[in-house]
Amino acid sequence: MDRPVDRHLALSESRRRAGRLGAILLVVIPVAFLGYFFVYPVVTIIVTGLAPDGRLDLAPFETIFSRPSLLGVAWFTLWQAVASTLLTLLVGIPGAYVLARYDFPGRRLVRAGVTVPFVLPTVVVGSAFLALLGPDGPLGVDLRRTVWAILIAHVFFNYAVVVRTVGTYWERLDPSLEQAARVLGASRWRAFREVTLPLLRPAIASAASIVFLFTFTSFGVILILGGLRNATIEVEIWRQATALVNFPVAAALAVLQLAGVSAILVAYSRYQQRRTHQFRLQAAAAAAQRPVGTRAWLLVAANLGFMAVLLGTPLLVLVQRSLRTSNGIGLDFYRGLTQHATGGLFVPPSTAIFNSLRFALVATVLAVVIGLLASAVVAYRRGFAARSFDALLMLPLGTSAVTLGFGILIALDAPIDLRSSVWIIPIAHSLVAIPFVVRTAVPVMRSIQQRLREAAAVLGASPGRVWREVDLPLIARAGLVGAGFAFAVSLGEFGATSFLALPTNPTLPTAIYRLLSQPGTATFGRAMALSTLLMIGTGLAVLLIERVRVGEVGEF
Amino acid sequence: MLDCRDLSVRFGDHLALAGVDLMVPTGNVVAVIGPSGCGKTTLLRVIAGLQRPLTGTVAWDGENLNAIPPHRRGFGMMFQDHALFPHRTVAGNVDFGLKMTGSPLDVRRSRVEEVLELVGLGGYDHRSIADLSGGEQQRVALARTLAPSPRLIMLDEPLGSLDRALRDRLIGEMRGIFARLGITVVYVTHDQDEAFAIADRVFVLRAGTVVREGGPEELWRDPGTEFVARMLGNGAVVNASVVGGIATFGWGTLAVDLPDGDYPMLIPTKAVTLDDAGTVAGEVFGTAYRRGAFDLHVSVGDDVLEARSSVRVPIGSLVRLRIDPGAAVRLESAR
Repeated sequence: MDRPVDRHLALSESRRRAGRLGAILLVVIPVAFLGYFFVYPVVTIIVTGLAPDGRLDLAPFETIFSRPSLLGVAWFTLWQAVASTLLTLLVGIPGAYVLARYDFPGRRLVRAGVTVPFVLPTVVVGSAFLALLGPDGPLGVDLRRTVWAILIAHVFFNYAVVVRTVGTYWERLDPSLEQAARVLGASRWRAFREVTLPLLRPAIASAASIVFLFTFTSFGVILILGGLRNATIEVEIWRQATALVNFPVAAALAVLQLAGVSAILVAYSRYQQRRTHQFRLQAAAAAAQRPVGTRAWLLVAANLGFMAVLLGTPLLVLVQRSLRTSNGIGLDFYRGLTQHATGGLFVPPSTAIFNSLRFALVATVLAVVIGLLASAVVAYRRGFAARSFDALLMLPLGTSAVTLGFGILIALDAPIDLRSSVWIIPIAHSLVAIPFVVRTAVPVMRSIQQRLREAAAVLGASPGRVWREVDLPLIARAGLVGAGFAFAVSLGEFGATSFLALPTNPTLPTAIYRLLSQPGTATFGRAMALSTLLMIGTGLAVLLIERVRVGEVGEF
Repeated sequence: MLDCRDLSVRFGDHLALAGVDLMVPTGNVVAVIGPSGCGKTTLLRVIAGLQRPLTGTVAWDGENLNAIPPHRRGFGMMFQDHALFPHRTVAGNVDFGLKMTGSPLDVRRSRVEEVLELVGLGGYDHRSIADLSGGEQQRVALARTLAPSPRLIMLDEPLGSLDRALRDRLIGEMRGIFARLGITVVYVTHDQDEAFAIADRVFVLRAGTVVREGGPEELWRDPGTEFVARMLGNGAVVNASVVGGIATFGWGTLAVDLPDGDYPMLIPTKAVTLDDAGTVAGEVFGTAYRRGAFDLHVSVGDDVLEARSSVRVPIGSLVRLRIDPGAAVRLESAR
């Protein structure tokens, strides 16, 4: 007799088998993609650096340590990163305080505005500061090629990291802790030092390590503002590989940088694990109050003024310079973009716009598809394998873009020579974007509580219907946010692209860099025009992200 | 002596305090009670100096403290949810206020030990805050507040999150500690049992105004207003019209010792007994077993009277009630 229970069991057995097959596919596609396009090239670099001729050979390292100019590069990389990090913390922590603890008109707008520089492509930041700090800039001083230009640009870039990371934490810190200290006899400053600061330490450490990593591997900003005298390891890898074609030394530098980055990441995770005290954070915004008294208003006004100057001026000057022609304000430079080949470009600059949009679309599709597949594995599986898989997905974030581009350049010549294909560019971009997609989608997938699905099932929805009604709408939004990130990342990617885009097929950032490295007002103006367009494109992608984001879920 | 005069605080359009006067003689324990949002916490924050008042003054022994910042007032405050510093040990928390005074280390050490002993946590010095139970955290918070020997301590719902039995025990312990130290205390709570158990004098706060003050017995006997009577819950509030010592209700009459007029009055629960020979007939519509006897809600005409009974009376039972003559208390209907 055919009992319904048996039939049900058989059905669920076959379904389980299908499920397992699906899970394997979910893992195989992302692993194959990342393995071939990311792990293989990076391993090739490490091998080239350590054993250029197949045997362990430390000659490239000896070259680095015996040449003062290369040692100087390493030293500069380190100290400018430390200085940039300290400066950013110094100006960012008061800003974080004001945005976390005070409620004033336009607070939400300011908070959104502060994040804009962080998502701007490095090349746009470079051009903006070139316009601001150049001889024709409104300041009237020429700070180009000085360390100051680099440090200020780094603060501009990373201000949001400190304000967001520290501010969000600060906002959720129970204000009665500080008040308890005040009533117990601590002055305002003492209460900050003895109570607030120790409690903020994890957030500050986290912001500091992110800023340090970004500035330690800074590329676009340094290339444009630093000239030949001030170079980071990242810039030097690029110079050794492209200009001097010294692959072993470039690879050895990449290995050194990789070691440095890993050391920071390990130290950071050790630090976070050692923290033992756990405490309750409260819901955000409960603590924000109207500023009362002259001192509070002055503090708020001073910080808002600083933000306006630091973050607003460079972008305004950029737009202004793109419009300022020899005969007044006009669109000459924008019209000039369609004209043929100027300064170092073999094609009209408008080709770069077309290329960038094309590549960004492909990179977005790749990153979203592969990223969502991978997210499903990370979100729904537990255990060591899932955790290692998660770590693999995050690796591109910790690897410098230049290393990635360089690796692809020297590794992917066989079996098919992908280097000459333009499609390697969107593939490289998607590698950089996948961590963003995963980090956006996984928390959303995990946040869909089993209880919601159970509630839907009890209300009469079949399993397929439950997935369609509960899971799909939320995952679709996460996918859209991930797409926005991927699009913005691809539009602005410069480090890897600088190895892969030929002068005949430039992207927006490589075209801007080429224009900027040539003298002449016309090329400079066109670079400013292209930078402005790139800024607008990135801005639109980020606007999309902010519109469809589901609450505050997601880690970016 | 703490002397607060005419304190007002405004948050946007909302008047959190509207002209509050509060006087606490040195060595007294005063409780401030009221529903949530009535301004209790704001009042403490103003006294502590954490909130600037719109009008009014906070003075201690005649000295105006309005311009003195919180850390120089010499007051102590125990916060709702305790606000213990999670990055310090038990001893580190208790020591904080002593450290701020700049006392020498050996003095501080022995004082920390002494205070921890006082609250019954001797030997807990090196424990981490996260490892403590709710009751232990409450004790550490109290020890931290007492350690610098403040001239006044304020407690903001100090037992808020603890269970009933523990609250009863801690109330008794705190009462003992306050009496032994002879300390001046302002104790804020929404729980009248807690307030009556600990205070010499109780202030009832409603929408930012003091609507009643007095000793616990005085308040219980004569709540004064309908609002306070309903909050204390010591009987039924009914409307009556009194002529020549006889109060007339929708359901009958009662001899009272009150002036003529129409006004609400309180019929205390303890004045109402189930009695087959009683003059008032009603129907039981609610019953709850509480502390050894049944609380009965009896509908009588359009009113509801409250009585206690040692035997179970099923819902729907028809009962007769006897009300002690002269027990009714006049209430102000306003507020």
